[in-house]
Amino acid sequence: MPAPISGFGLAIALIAAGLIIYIRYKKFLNEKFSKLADQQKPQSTPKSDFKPEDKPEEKKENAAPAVSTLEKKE
Amino acid sequence: MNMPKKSFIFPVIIIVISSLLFFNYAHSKISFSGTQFKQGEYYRFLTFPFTHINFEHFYENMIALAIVSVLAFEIGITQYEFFGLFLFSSYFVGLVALLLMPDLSMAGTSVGIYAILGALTIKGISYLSKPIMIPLMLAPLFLKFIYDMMSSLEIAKASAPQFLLHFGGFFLGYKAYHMYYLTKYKPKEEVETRVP
Repeated sequence: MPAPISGFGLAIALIAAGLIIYIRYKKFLNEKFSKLADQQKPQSTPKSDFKPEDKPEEKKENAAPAVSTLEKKE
Repeated sequence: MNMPKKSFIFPVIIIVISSLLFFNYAHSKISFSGTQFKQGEYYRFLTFPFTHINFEHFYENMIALAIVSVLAFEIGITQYEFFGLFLFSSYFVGLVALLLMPDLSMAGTSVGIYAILGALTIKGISYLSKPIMIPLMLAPLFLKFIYDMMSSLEIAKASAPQFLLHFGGFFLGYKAYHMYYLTKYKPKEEVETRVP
């Protein structure tokens, strides 16, 4: 009689069970870290008085003519 | 990304049908082989994924199916995907066996289980990378074949069709779910990343 298909079910079940535990553990860690991050967020990011007018790029543009006026004085 | 609802209706249906068939019919009446199919026993093609040859075969596959279904839903495969993949791969492999190996007797849920494992390597990429996931899923299959080869060449020859069909189930599950994943999930993910 030709060989029928037979499963190696227990080995597969063992690997699957291991993976379930691993994934649960990883999800648990992710949740814990995300909660910690949420708790730390308000402390670590204080409100800044940043205004769009104080852009550093604009300062650079303003700084360029200042140097040129100095050169002129010299 | 929204996680699908965890429902075990379809795995339970497969286990119930397998149990009913196992305890009410001898596997010789409902298992599948090409020669019996050609003699007019077409129903065998439908029943073979739910048939088992002995109690060891039955309980091993049922335990594997139950735990793999839990893993599948944990990773995020929906129950419809699970059932569709199970049936598609089982019947596709059955069709290939009918054409290429008509003398081979086929029975068991294991081809479907391997197809689910193949699909898990696609969906489970966020937990484990493919180079780890694929060898892990195929390890029992290859270890059994290597063990058979080491014990004797005749046993290895007898188990070679089993190995090929199981591997075929895995590959089908992997490929079919990959194509399905690209059409269903990928466009949504791209839109989610574009729109904040």
